[in-house]
Formats: sequence, C-alpha cells, structure tokens
Amino acid sequence: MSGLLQSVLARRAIVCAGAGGVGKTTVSASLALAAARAGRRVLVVTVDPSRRLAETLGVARHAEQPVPLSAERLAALGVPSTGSLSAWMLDASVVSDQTVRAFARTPDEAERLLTHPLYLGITRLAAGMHEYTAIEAMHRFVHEDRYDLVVLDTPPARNALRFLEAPERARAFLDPRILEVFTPKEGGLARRIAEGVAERVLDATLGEQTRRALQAFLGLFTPLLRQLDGNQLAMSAFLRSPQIGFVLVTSPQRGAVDEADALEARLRSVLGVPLLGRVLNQVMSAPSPLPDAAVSDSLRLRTALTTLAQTERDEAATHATLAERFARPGAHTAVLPRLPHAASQLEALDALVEALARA
Amino acid sequence: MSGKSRLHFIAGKGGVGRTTIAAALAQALAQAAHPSRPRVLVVEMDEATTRAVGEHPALAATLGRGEALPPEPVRISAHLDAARLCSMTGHEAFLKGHLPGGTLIAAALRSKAVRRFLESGPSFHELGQIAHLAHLAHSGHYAHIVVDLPATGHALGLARLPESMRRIISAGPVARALDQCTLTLRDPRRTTAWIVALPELLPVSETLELVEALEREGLPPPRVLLNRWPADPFSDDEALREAAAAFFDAHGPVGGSVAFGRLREAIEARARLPAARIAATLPHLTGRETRALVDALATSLVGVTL
Repeated sequence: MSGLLQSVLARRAIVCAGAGGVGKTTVSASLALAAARAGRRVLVVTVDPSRRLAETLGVARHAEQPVPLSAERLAALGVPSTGSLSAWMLDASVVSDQTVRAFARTPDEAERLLTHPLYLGITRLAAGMHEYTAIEAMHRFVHEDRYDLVVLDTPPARNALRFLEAPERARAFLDPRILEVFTPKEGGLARRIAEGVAERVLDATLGEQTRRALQAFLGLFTPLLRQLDGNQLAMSAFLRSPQIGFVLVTSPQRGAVDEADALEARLRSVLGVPLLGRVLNQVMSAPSPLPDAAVSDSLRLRTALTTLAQTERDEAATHATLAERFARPGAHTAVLPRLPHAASQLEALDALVEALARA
Repeated sequence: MSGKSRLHFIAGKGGVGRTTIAAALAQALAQAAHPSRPRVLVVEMDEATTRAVGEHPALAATLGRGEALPPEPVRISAHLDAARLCSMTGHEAFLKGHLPGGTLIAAALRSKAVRRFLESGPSFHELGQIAHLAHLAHSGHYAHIVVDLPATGHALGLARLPESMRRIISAGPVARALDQCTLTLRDPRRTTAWIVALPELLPVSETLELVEALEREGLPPPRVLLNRWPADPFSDDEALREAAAAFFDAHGPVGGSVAFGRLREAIEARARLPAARIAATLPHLTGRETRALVDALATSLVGVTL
C-alpha cells in the first residue's frame, strides 16, 4: 500500500481541496473506496451540486441523510464485509434545518425559527453557508463516531481557503456585538447613540418595517447563535487538528498547477495546516505508436490519425514535465492517469484506486 | 444598474477557462469599441473571506498584472480598464447616494457595528458588489462591462439575489435599487449572460440545466461558449471519422485513440445543446503563455460579441 493511502487510513477525516474541474469528486470517491476496501466504515460527502458522485456511486441527490451503498453494490466494488461506504450530497438548507433543531433549546423554539419568514431567506442567502454546513456535517459525523473516515469533497471555489475560513466567517455574522446593536435592549449613552445611528441607517435604506422585522428575528435567533458560537470554535480547532488530512487535487494544466502551488503555500504559512497529499489527476501517458499496416489504404485517414497521435504525444510531454515539477518532498504525491473515454464509472473508480495504491 | 453600460456576465464551472474568456471577451469588445464612448471595463468579484489571507488575483494575473486589482479601475490598454468589485466601495457609494445629509453618512461609515453588519450580514457582501457594479455602470465611462463571475452555483445565486432580497426588504431605497437591478438583468439590451463550458457530456448537461435555470429567472437567453474544442483533423467529414472509429475499434488504445475519443465526445456533447444557444466554439490552444492565449481567443471572439 502506498504512503498516501496509509496516511489516509490513519486519519478520521480527509478534505479534498483544489480548483474546480480537476476531478476532485472522483478522487474523493476513489480515496473513500480505497479505505472501504481496507475494511473501514467510510462516508464520502460532496457539496458539489453536480451529479457526478451520485452517478459514480449510484446514490440519490438531495437526501436528508447519508445513503449507504447496498451490500450487492459494495460486493461489486470489492468492499469486504467489515467495511462500508456511504455517500451524501450535501444540501445546505437540509443541514441548516438540522443545525437549528440540534441547537435550539426546545422543539417549540426550533419550530418558531424554522417557520419564520426571514429564516428561509436568511439561511439560503447567507454567504458561506455551503462551506459552513459542510464542515459542520463533517465535524458531527466524526464526533458521533458513526464512521471511521469521512472524506469531504470541497466546493469548487476558486480559492479553496474560503472553505477553511467558513467557521470564522459565520462567527463574524454571529458576533454578539453586531446582534446587540440591532436588537432592542437597555444600555449606556454610547450604546444608545450607536443604536441610533444603526437604526437610522437601516430605516433610511431598508425601510422601518424591514428593520423592525430583522430586529425581531435576530432577537429570536440570538440564543441559538450563542450556542452555535461555541460550536464554531470547536469546528475551527477540529479543522486544524491532526485528525484531519488535507489532500490537494489538481489537473495537469499549467494554470491549475500554479494555483495548487499557491494554495499549498498558503495552507502552510497562514493557517498552519500541513498538507497530507498532492494528487495530480488526469495525466496522459505517451501513446503507443500507430500500427503502419492498418492505415495504408487511405492517405487522408492516415494524415488525420497521425495528427491525432501527435496531439496526444505533445500533451503527454507537457504532462510529464508538470508531473516532475509536482513530485517534490513535503507531502505524499500521487499521479493518476487520465482514464479512457469509454471507461464506465465503476472501471474508472477501479483504475484510480489501483493507481492510488501504487502511487 | 440603470446606467448605460452593457453588462456581460461570464459564468461557468471552475476550470473551464472562465477568467481567460472574460479577459478575451473584454479585449474583443475593446477592439470593436465605438470611437465616441470607446472604453471597456473588465471586473472580477472579490470573496470576503479571502481578504484576510490575500487575494488570488486570477483576473489580474490573466491581464499580466502582478498584484491584485484595486476597486478603482486601472488602465490595461488603450481601450480597456480593469477593476475588482468591492462590497465596501459599493456600500459607501450606495449610502452616499441615499442617506439624507452628510453627518449621518459620516457616522454610519465610522460606526464599526454598521461596517461589520454590511460586511458579514446575509448577502450584504454580494449586494455591495452589485452596488459597486451599478455605480460603475452609471459612471458613463464604459460602453461595456465584463464581469468574471465566481463558480456556477454562485452565478445562479447572484441572478436570484435581487428577487430573494426583495422578499425580505419590503420598501425603501434598497428595495427600489433591487427592482431596478432586476429590470436591468432582464433587459436584453443591457445584459448578456455568457456561459463557458467544456465540450464534454456531463459539463454540457450541467450547462443546459444552468441555461434553463437562468431563463426561468427571466434573464435574456444565455449564450454558450464551448471552450477548448479539440483539434479536428477530419474537418467534419463524417465518413472519414467513421473510418477512424473503425480503425480504433480494431486496434484498441493506440496513439491518437484518446484524442479521438475526446473529439467524439465533444461532437456528441455539442449535439445536446440547442444550436441557437451556442455562440461559438473556441479552439483548444495548448502550450501558450496566458497573454498569447487571451490574444488568440479575443480574435476568435471579435465576430461573436455583436
């Protein structure tokens, strides 16, 4: 077994990060399958709204809970009876509702919040909600010990750091100092002046009616937000704990590799999070030469086929150069092949798990 | 957004070359610009959470700038400017345009609570960027503004934002500005939505979903740009392509089979899109430096932008 896979098996959660369009979802599914084949109980979570993972693993979209793969499907994927594999395509509003239910003090309070007209608007509009709910879900699953390993496929953000900062960003909105200004209460002169300014600005821009509705809603939300605040601190710590491993996925295009390098540098320096592995995905190998005899019948066909083969050779050469640059110390490195056009999803996963094991 | 600039929103999933296309489209528009009001502006949107750790200057790098773009437009070439949409700039511009009296504006902008609320309240960050865009569109300096959007999910969220916020905000200047924004977004003379997609099966299916979703939001019919179209040595000669297919069926994975599979998938994927939705197919140009790539794509786009 490769160093990357061994290290993955030693963690409780793996976060696959990288730019969009690099095959992150497929790599996440492959890592999860590899761990399940090693007998682990694995959950793979994706926040990518694409259908790829659903199609790959054969699970439903918009499910309220993770969907375990059937015994037959697990057997077909080569997972032993001690292992299991579940998948969940995360729906931000579903997780948000669950969070409210979990942190409200009473079922009645939860219900009043969930049915409030502003709740729907605010939870679906809040920036970073997707990222926040993904980390919240991952944290909960690891905490509950229902799985040995949770693999998280992060949203295709241009800057994957946004994801790591989601807990802090949510805290900024939930900062009690903001809430206090916008919720009516007693206070000293300075506070009342600050409130006065805030109210006048909101009345002049949003209208008094909206300002009052917002205040009432925040008043209702405050106890829940205070609960969440503690939870977010726990999540921030969790993201930086050694239980989690970060795997950076990129495709063999110059721009994508540049972006991955920049991301790796910032993961280390700013967040102090070490990288577990780097995966260079979709790498083409040098093609085998054309058999001469077969194409002698048509000059035009031969010309066309030669052009195609040359395109492929050029691309393979570029990829080889990037792969060399990619393989450097500091993290486990895996180079995964570009899969044949005709490969089924199952064949594709099989091939990637094989390549991961060899890497 | 009731100014006179025409807005071009560039949407598409990560990794499809959206930023490169945004730069190329802006350059193509600048080349064809009208002499009396000749300038074109290309903007990217900042992400609130990345400010603490430094921007990833994707558009800046594509335009050949080493540092992040500022909120104030900077000159890129004779007819092209670039800027970064910044929520605080937008909030300030909006407050200055709508609050009565200078004292309250000054107090509001000084107030930490107000600033923090504007920065991190639900969707206030995005609204600030929209306000900044509206401010630039009103300035009268630009015939066209090209907006490099973040990823796809975000594009749809942004298109829906004015209406969703309108359900929460019932009256006042913000409500009126949101209505104006919705009108602009739905006006085919003011707004073009471009979707960049790769000519592959799943991406094209997802693009079709986005096209339909944006049309349901009332936007003018989006125009799809199929990027990185693979080299086609068959020049659409179907008989010759069939002969090649037979050859690869007989010989398995030999040199050229991957490139051929990609070409077949591209053709199949293109057929899934209604022909009227495809604005252009742009060639897959490998091994070029970014500047040369933008120049080449801009040349391909000159005829498409009208």
